[in-house]
Amino acid sequence: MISGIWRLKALALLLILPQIAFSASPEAGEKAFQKCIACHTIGSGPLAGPDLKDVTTKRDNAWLIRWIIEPDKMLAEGDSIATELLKEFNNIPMPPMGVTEAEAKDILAYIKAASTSEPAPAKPLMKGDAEIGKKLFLGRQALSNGAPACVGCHQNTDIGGLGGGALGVDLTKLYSRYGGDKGLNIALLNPPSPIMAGIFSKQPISEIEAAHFTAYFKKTNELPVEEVNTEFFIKGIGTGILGLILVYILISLIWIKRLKGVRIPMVGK
Amino acid sequence: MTFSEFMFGVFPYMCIVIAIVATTWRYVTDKFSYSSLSSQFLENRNLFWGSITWHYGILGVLAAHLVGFLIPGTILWWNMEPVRLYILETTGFVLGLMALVGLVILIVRRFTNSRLMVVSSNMDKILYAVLFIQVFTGVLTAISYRWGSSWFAGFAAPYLWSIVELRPNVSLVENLPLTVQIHILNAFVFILLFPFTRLVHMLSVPIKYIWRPHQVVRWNSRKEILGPF
Repeated sequence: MISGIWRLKALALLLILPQIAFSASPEAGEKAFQKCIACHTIGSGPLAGPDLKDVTTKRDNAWLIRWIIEPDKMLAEGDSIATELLKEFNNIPMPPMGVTEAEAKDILAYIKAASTSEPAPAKPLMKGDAEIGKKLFLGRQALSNGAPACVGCHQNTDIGGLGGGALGVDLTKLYSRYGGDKGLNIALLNPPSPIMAGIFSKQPISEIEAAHFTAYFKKTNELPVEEVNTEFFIKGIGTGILGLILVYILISLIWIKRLKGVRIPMVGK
Repeated sequence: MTFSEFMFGVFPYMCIVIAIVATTWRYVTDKFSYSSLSSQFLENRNLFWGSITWHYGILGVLAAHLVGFLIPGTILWWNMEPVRLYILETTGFVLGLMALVGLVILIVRRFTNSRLMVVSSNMDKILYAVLFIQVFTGVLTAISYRWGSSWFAGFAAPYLWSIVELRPNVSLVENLPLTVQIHILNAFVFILLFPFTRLVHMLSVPIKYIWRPHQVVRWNSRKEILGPF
């Protein structure tokens, strides 16, 4: 009989052990949640994405885990909740942030724990200067972290000329995409795009630079978005092709006598 | 290990190590094969229009990549004024077009001339394919994902340095567009092919010709050339 009780205890221990060993950790989740703070708060209101307070009670756990790991695939599959959220939040798709399943579980444990406590009071935002923001965007004033200026990868209707880069998205309407001052400021300090995170996660821009950018993007938000950068395609590529033609003219002039020394006297053509 | 980690963190080392060992081996065992195997005697007219633009174009583009790798801060300093950025990008674009058009002429020349087909090996064909992919994706990147001269300093230069420092930082490149990733990986294939193809002529360029005194060639007894027979 005694051995029977011990067997039961051993069985219970075996069932509980994996739960202890592999249970989600809110502490680890808080660290992993840094990947989310550009767009989400827990109890401080929506930014580019929804406020996640009590989300663990509102949605199915398995759905949440998959959504955190591969939001792009769920959107592509046309998941009804995901599609609804996309529509609700200015059509900004949640990017895959390279979160593992274990991290996703930790994040959810952190959100659950943080939902019960009052959020820390937000720091007042710094006031920026749109002119300095433009200089930083164009690179006329270098970023303090030594990173390339925005114009290297991003277009915005305000800058004119041949425009900005095309590696990243057009930033003309960034201000409204991120829901105004607060959302944009946080997003700039914690870039949500995986490509940008490669550079800026280790060396973020400074808070005052984020404030200057926010002021500048508030201004560009008034401008329309140019779908195609015609200036670049006509003037930029056109100049390139013209340059190539000039090179060929130059080559034919430099080597104009190349057949006259030997070939034509010897071969006759 | 993910696929990206292998391709950007391991594959480059495989290519570099094989290239160094094989280049040394080929030099030790077959020194006089370090040649471009010129086909100028077999066909010269089309070669002229392809080879000149190809070589000046690709040397300029490679030099620009090297400057971006060695002193990325200088490129960022130059690009601080958008007009200077546009000048640099357009110059790079012209050099890229020169390389692309020159290479296409050389490929067409090699595959349409029966005399050249005889002296072309399978490795030549593979090399042409790799070079075309490299230059085409480079020009496509310049058009589709401008302005590379700026973002090279942010992604490519630190990634390449991370390879040199033996601690590859795959996160810098694993999310870049596919065209750019193909360009990076194909560059390592190019390094891999180096000792196995006529690319070795890059190490036997007669650079001394640039500064050696000129030579005067005189006829001892010149006879009248009778002209074409």
